[in-house]
Amino acid sequence: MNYLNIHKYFNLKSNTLQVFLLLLLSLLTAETDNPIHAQDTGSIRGFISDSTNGEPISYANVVIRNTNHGTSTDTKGFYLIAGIVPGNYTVIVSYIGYKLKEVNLVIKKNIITELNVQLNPSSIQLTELQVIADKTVRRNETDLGLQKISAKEIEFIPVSVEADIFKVIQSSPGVSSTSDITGKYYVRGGGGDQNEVLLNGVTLYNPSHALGLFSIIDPEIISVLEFYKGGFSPIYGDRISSVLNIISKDGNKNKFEASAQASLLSAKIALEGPVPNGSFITTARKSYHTKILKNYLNDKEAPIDFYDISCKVNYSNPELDKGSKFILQGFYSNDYIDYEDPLRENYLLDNLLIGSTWRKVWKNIPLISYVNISYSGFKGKVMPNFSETKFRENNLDDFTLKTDFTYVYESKDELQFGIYNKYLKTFLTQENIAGETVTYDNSGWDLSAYFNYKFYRWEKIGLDLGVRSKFIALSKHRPFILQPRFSFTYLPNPLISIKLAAGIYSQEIVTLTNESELISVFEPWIIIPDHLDAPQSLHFIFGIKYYLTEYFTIETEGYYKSIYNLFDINENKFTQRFSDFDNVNGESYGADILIKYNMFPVLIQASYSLSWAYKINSDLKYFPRYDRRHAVNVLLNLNLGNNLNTSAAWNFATGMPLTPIAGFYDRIHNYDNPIWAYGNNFIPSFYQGEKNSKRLPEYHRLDVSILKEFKFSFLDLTLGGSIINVYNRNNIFYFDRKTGERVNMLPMIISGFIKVKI
Amino acid sequence: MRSIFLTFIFITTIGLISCEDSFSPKVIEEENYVVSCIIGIADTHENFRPTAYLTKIYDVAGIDPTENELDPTISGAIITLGYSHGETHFLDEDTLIYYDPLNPDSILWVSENLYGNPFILYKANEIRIQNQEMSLEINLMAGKKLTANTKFPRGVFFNYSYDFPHGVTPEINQWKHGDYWGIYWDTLEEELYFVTLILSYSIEDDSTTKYHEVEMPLQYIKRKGNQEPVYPKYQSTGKLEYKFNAIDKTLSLISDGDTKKSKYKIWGLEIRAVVYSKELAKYYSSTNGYLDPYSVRLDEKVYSNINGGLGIFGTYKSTSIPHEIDEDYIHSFGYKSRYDN
Repeated sequence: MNYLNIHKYFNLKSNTLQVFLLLLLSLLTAETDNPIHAQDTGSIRGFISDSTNGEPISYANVVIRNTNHGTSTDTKGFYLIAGIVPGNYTVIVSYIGYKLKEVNLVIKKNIITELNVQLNPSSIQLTELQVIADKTVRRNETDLGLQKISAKEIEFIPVSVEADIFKVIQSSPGVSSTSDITGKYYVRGGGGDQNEVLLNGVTLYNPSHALGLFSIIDPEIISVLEFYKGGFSPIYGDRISSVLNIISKDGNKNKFEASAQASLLSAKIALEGPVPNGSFITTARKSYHTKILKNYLNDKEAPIDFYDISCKVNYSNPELDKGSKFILQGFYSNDYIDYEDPLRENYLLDNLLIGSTWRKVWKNIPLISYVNISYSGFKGKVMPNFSETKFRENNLDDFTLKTDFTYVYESKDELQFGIYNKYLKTFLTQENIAGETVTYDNSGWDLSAYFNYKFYRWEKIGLDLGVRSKFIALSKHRPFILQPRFSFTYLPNPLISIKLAAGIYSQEIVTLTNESELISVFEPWIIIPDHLDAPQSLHFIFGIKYYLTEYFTIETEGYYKSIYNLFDINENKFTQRFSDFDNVNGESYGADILIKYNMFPVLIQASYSLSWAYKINSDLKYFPRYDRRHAVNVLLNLNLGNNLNTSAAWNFATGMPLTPIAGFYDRIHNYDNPIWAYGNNFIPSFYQGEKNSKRLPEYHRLDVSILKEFKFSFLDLTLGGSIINVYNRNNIFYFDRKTGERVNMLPMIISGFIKVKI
Repeated sequence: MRSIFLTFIFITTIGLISCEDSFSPKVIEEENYVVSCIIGIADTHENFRPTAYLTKIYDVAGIDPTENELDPTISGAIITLGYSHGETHFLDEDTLIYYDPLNPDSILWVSENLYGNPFILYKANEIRIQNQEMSLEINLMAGKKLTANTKFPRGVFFNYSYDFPHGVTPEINQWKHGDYWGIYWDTLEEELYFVTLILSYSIEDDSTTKYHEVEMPLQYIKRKGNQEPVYPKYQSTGKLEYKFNAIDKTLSLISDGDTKKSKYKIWGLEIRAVVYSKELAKYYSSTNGYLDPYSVRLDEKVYSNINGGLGIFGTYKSTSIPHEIDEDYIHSFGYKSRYDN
């Protein structure tokens, strides 16, 4: 569907949009006439944190005994319960892994009572599996498509070289990857650049180390991950497929802690502790021995060198401004490959992220606000020196100012709104395969606002109605101005929740990624060029969650995703006359099922995904490389006691599409000479059949890991080991297009790490 | 006993499931034909002699095409080559077997193809070069027809960073004119260029004279403690810059280790340029596309302009421009110039 067509498409829907907006406006008007302070009720709010280090606890349950009032904390540990009839109450705060805490308090009319609670970690081993509770107080939560992942869950996944958030994401139902050796992931038929990675709300543009092998985010800094696989709320608006929001730790507020860790690839240190009225955490990681990467790369001797540094400081002084918290964060990562050989190319990739957040819990108003100002930059450079490698350079500068507000009504409803202001500049110069130098130098301003009204007033129903409006767009052929979002949850009984979500999404910045590149060193970002339309997508998701017991849940989701104006390499470009890129469309649909059993000492998580993904060019509908019909992921974690933990992960997927060899022929290559001059003027070659029309064989792999913690009086020592591809399965990666040679994915790899914490 | 049994089951299971799939990535299509017809001309010539080679696709037992032993050459086709507004010529089938003119039964030389058989080509005698589109039409015995079009590239005209009145020499004001000799030319969209600078010299030993040519590098770079030359590559841009110190070094190296410098005679430099038609340029780009040693690309199409089949019908044009080398500069090495006895 081209630009005009998509507008026609949306115009057809304009009546629906108008009804939707009128409904939203009427609801907002009706509710805002009755703010909490004008009623005969009171509220409580506050933060839930860990007593040992002051870290906020995400998704903790806060309920008021003998009432139907209750909620869960957000990723910052914040909660707010409104509309409580004045009186004496007992507030119960609980979270898996912590001792339950009860607090008696008095709710007064028109008063917001502040209640901050610190939970003590439980000594009972039952709770040591700190997987985020699926059983939340608010079962009518409109969270379809959201997967919450704790730092502990990342540890459960056996690691090949480094613990990696992307490996966790890749094992999530509905997510696929094209190989063992990339951190790149594809969510429900969407492309790799359609996934946004946020660090505390700030976009990370190149979230991979070591030529894309694994994430630049050190798991040590992670508090919780929120992974939206689709149908996400209007708070997010930069990508059309998924959002991964990484919330980092605040740092220990009570005491100084230091830890050091060494693996076969890198060493890292972390330091955290209190500062006056706050805390800090800083980490640094550096590669020192990259021999293990030889299993991953074409060039076994690649002198990969990388490091990353992160820091976060929190400051909250009630005397200065009660209810305010200031957060400063910085992150820098650098990858450099230098052969020290003028006949070889050098690579440089770095990310710089600086951000500050002012969080304000407003006095006497059930309102919390966030003001965030940030810079996120990415630089990538391929310096060919005197090699055949093509020169490429990409710079990206992103300055963002955004505000987010959440207002809680007496009825438990919530209104979320915010303004998003981004200045973005991208510069790319590169020599393409045709030997032509292409430069894209674009900048633009993105001004958007969003409203999201969450109906929690009904016990059995949760409903989000929202819209994101893009007033000023980055690209010339901008996406549609209004992007409505909808999410609905219905609880026919306490054990079952039925969920629906839908939305329109857009994206104005893309990577120049060739899907045919199984390994892609350099994926530059650019604002959509003027001659192309901005990608947009429609999501429809339907899900059912069934709580068999408190510890046993079954979750199914079905989805349909339609994508317009995808940005794709023009495969028919051979010279300057043709554009490097083209708009194509896409479509995907499928279903996922996730079964989770979490009862000490066992965690079992099994998922099955059935999916179809298509790309639709003007004359061809084909399966993209990441289309996999069936996928099964099983994770088993067993706590053997005495601080000994084991995990096993088995992944199975039916084969990825492959463009078959349709025949062989003798191709002329040395055409400076007459044909008959030498027999070797011809190279026996193969030619390709219909694009991605054949399938590789099934992929499967078993990984195991073991983790042992030793606690001494002065330090904690952790030893970890993993075996990747235990039965040494030869999973096909690809067939070399020049030699026809079969290249397999990772063989069996044994790795380990040691961690010391004082 | 039980643990032994379980271990056995475990190992057997692993052994079974870890077997490598005998997977074939092939889906062989029906019969298809491959045309290789590349016509080279020189700007000093008025005519050209076209040749075309016709084969068909084949299959092999595995996926290594070098294992093919069946000669895929196609004979019996009727091939015509014509200008869009001019005459048409038939290309006659012939083998490349050269007989001794004095003894017709004696074979002097056979040009063999990849399969050890004499090349079977389609060729024509002198055809006049015209600045028109050319079309190739192939009618196969099976009734299939293949067609393609191309056009000769235009020639190149060079400009220089410095026009040496008495031949190339570094003895110029390098602060003003640079430490290199720049060779520039206008480019046309979609054309590809391969330009080299060749040094010609001879070595006189007693009564024999041996003639040599050496390609001049653009510069020398230091690599792992050694000086290594960097040569021009195929390019779409119209610029080459030869460092004077590279010219110095190359002139010096031709007699490296030889104390008798006077037996070396320098004949001069020659710019040799080959301009490839847009079809050949596309073909080159699609077969030599290379980003870096890490990127793994699949599904890249090899360019073909053969309608109804595969292969390439393209042209290239060669141009040579001689340049003198300054006599004093030559003498500074102890060599003779072409004008010395």
